[in-house]
Amino acid sequence: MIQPLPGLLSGAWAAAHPAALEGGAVRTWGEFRLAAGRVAAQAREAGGERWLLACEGAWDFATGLAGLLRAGRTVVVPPNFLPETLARLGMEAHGSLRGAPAAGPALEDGPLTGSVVFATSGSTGEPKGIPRTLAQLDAEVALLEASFGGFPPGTPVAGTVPHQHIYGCLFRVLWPLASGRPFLAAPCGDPASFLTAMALAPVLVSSPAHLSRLLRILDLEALPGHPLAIFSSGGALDRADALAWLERIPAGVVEIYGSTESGGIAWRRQGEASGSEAWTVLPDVGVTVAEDGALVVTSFRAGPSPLRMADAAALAPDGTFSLLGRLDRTIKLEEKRVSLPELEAALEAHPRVTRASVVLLVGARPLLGAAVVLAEGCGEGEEGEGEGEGEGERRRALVESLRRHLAQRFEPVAVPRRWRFPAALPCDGSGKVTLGLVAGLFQGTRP
Amino acid sequence: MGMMITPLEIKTFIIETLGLEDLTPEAIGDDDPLFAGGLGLDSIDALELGIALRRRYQVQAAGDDPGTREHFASVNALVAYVSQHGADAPA
Repeated sequence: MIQPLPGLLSGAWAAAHPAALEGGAVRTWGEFRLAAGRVAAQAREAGGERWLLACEGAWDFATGLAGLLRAGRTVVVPPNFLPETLARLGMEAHGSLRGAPAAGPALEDGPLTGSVVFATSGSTGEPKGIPRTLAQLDAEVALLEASFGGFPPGTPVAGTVPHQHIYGCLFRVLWPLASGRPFLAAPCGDPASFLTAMALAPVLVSSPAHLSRLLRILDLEALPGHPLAIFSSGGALDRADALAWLERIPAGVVEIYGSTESGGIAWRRQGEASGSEAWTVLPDVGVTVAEDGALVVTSFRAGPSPLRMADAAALAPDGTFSLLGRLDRTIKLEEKRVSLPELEAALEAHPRVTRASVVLLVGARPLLGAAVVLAEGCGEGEEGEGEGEGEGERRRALVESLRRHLAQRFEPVAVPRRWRFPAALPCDGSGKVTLGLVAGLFQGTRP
Repeated sequence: MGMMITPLEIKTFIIETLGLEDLTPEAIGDDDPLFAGGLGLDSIDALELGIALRRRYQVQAAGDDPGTREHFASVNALVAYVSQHGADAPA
């Protein structure tokens, strides 16, 4: 059974039914409604249409989201909780919720209205907000239950992915709430909490970054319990890794392809069978391929007009498709969406930087490299002369300053690990800076 | 089973494993937090380190030990952990 999202607080689940598990303790639906009601009362009292939901814990996030929607607010969900991100989004909002109010009056249970805006990295250098109506989120949850659900109520849902991105928000929080399955409030991405979570035989919401690595640290045969189902999203799971999980977990890994803008588009379960690496579109989705190769998606959840994805795709006669790679400069690094133009713009805002180019360096582990041209008088010793002791120190101090600058608003994975300071960015014959030439700066060890 | 390992070795190991080419061992304090701020590492880095520890020092980085996260807290914590649970990888 599934409770439509607008009626989430209207009493589908008994007050004693578990809503979440937090540090070994059960949080009930009674507690959930009370906490959400307090947030709703606070938001009504304070007024203001647009609220920033800056709760780092999934329980506070879930009750905060339900409460703000109960008050009919537009809820802005930040991509991370870094100081500059929260300051920027906070300035555009009328109110900000940092944690659940501990006490105070609670608004009575009633229908949820309002909408959600996922703040995310844009492809053009400017961060943007992606609005999702409650109806779209509700359609998403209903589709997930119809396509992949059916686990008994009470099955816990554990996740290694952040709750504030749309995938984690839907799979770790909203779908469990709507289906009466308690969600684990703490993420279980590290080996110790992963093992603790697996003992509950949960539904596992994960990503290739975690699934491929946990496989290499843990002995899957010795897991204290088996997940009932494994979901993975944010990027493609290596076929070898998918097969390794399938060997131990009979249900295998269901991969979901989608984006914040489109919602879920397609799924696959890689197995021994050939063709199992192709993506099958979800039942309410239509796909075509544009002239330049981009996948174009049509569905109620994606919005009123066809949505052009930034991924190239090839359609097969049977209606499945394969993905051929990104078409823009927004990349996925460990499933985090990273806009290279946004990083470059942020670097160029640093007082010592005149130009910057950021490239993805492929290797055993993909990393970002930044080539930075310094302002006059800030030369760093890569212009021929040998690197003296003081020079190495100056370089380290400079890199540290640039890293700190970026860390104010970018997550660790998006802060470049490799740095080069050429006198000018490398150009091709027509004077155009090409990414291939920039990437060439990073070959070998640094000079 | 145990082995001797120094803070310097662990620092070099961290720098090599995570590709932190602009960092020197001297820049990492023995008790600096590795993951909360400090070096700007995240949970994926912790997993990478776990995989590399298992490969290099035969440490079963997760196992049934609920204290795993504390072992990764600092260089000194890692030294103690590897000294206690590690073994030299067979050549």
